[in-house]
Amino acid sequence: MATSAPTLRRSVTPWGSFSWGYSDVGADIFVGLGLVLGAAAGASNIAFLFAGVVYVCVGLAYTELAAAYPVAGGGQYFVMRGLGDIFGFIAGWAVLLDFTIDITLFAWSCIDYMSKLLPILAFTVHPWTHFWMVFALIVGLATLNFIGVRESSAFNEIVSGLDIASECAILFFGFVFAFRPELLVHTMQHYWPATPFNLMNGVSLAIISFVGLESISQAAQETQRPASVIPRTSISLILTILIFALAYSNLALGMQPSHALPLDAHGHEQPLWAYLGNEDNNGASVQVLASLVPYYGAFAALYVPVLGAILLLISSNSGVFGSSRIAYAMSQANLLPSLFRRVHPKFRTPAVSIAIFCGFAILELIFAALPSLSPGSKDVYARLFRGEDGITFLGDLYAFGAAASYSFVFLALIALRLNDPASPRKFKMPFNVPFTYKGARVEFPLVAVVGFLGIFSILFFVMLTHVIGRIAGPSWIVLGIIGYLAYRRYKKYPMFRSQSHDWRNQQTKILQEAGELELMDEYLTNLKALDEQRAKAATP
Amino acid sequence: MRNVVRSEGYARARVGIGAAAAVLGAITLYRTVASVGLKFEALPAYVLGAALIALGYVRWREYRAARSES
Repeated sequence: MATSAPTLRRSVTPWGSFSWGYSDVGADIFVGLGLVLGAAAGASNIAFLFAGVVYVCVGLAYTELAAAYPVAGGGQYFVMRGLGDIFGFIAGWAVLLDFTIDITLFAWSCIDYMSKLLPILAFTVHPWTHFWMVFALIVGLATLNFIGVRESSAFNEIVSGLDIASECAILFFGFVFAFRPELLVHTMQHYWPATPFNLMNGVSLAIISFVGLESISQAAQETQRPASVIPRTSISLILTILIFALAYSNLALGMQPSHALPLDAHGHEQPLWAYLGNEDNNGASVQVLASLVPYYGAFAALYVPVLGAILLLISSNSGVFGSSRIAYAMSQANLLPSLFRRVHPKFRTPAVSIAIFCGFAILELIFAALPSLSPGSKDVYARLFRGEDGITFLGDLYAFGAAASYSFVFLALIALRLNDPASPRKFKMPFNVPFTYKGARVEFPLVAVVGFLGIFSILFFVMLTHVIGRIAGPSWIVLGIIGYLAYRRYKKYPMFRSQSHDWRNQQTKILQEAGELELMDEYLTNLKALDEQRAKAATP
Repeated sequence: MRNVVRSEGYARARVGIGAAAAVLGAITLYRTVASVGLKFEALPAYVLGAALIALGYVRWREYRAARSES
């Protein structure tokens, strides 16, 4: 008797779905705040606002698409379905770059935060100890994900809850007792960046603080009743992340610290934003800011390093989860070899993908740490990467990968609205223009156009302001395309065109497997009506 | 964990936090407008206040929907 291949199991609950997204995006501000303050100075909150508006558009697009097409793969699947196989591969490949960097970057930052309590872990003092700790974290997370999503989902759920409670407390005390709107306006007027270049640099770094929302759609195939759950959790998540990013940046510019700040290197007084954005503090700016909040700051200083480390750890965990799921989905669509879709017979997790992408993450770790582990390689790095260290290089690529894939997702959303009007959309982006296209009534999404222009401008800023990012990012894409074409040629699949896909049957199956039987019926009814409309329109 | 997030107490806690967020948003908006008026520089503060109020509204709407389902 033939047995069907093992598939991913649906065990992610509404809170689990929220936590997957939060664990990925929520930690970004811990890394991004100091970097943006250092780059955009008094315009940092504007940089976060610009990136935040784009992020809201991205979030709404993912919400609509993930609820309508609840499959593992997220952005890659939407782009493949909307624009074709090769564009689906490019979008997925860009996201894979992001997720593997996510594993390394956040595991690294996690150890940095822990080093505030355990100085033996400080990278600058004990680089080998730091390296082995990050290595152990990556291997540990790979094992956790190998065992199964239920275990790692519960892990995310608990720490996400703790972090949200803590951040709410910090922001409550900060805004109620120390926020001065007149100080905010004064800081922005006096420390506005001298050139637009600084602001563009700030915006390109600020988008780092909003990367990862697609984790919810990556987990869609394992989410219970996804069409109902995803819109609910996504909207809450979009608002929560936007609030935290805007609140921290506004506090950094407009908060009266609870005690005097140390003088700068020249013996002058320094504003709070400059203190948070300097080289000593920008790696732990959230912790420093929290410690300066009145009444609560002394307590926050004790636990925020731990909490930051935990949150960064679960963000790293989301990278393991996301990269393995997207590779699984790409392999199912014949965009990557079948090796990536092998599911462990006992745990039903994509074990091979987990091992491969954690292997990539370890290579990135070695690359990032090498200048410190081997002082001889410092000069080579300085010459080849124009002085940028390994982690900055990874940060550039992180922003590049996200902006590139999000650009394609907006185009795919527009294409799917036009070409697949029958799929029920429990959530739709607002502000749509109805018209008739190929004999059917469709709705053109105006917010998707705004989002595309926004994310494309951020991609332009990344390329303009990051010397290494504009070389390495496109190189990753080109190398991926070469590998893709070679694989498709070897397997005798169409190289530049798409394979024939039976989207109608596939969509019916997706909705059925998701338990969305009402939506499946609605889809079948819509298809019948659509065919009749088109037949009528074609009749002279 | 699963039992906690499905409980009535959890739903009430969520709507309570949402209400607190909305109040904080209203305070932020009021204080910003009262002290600096309508200025471009204060735009991120207005957006923050509006987002907090929106979060409160979303939580309240979810709570209402969950109650009507049960």
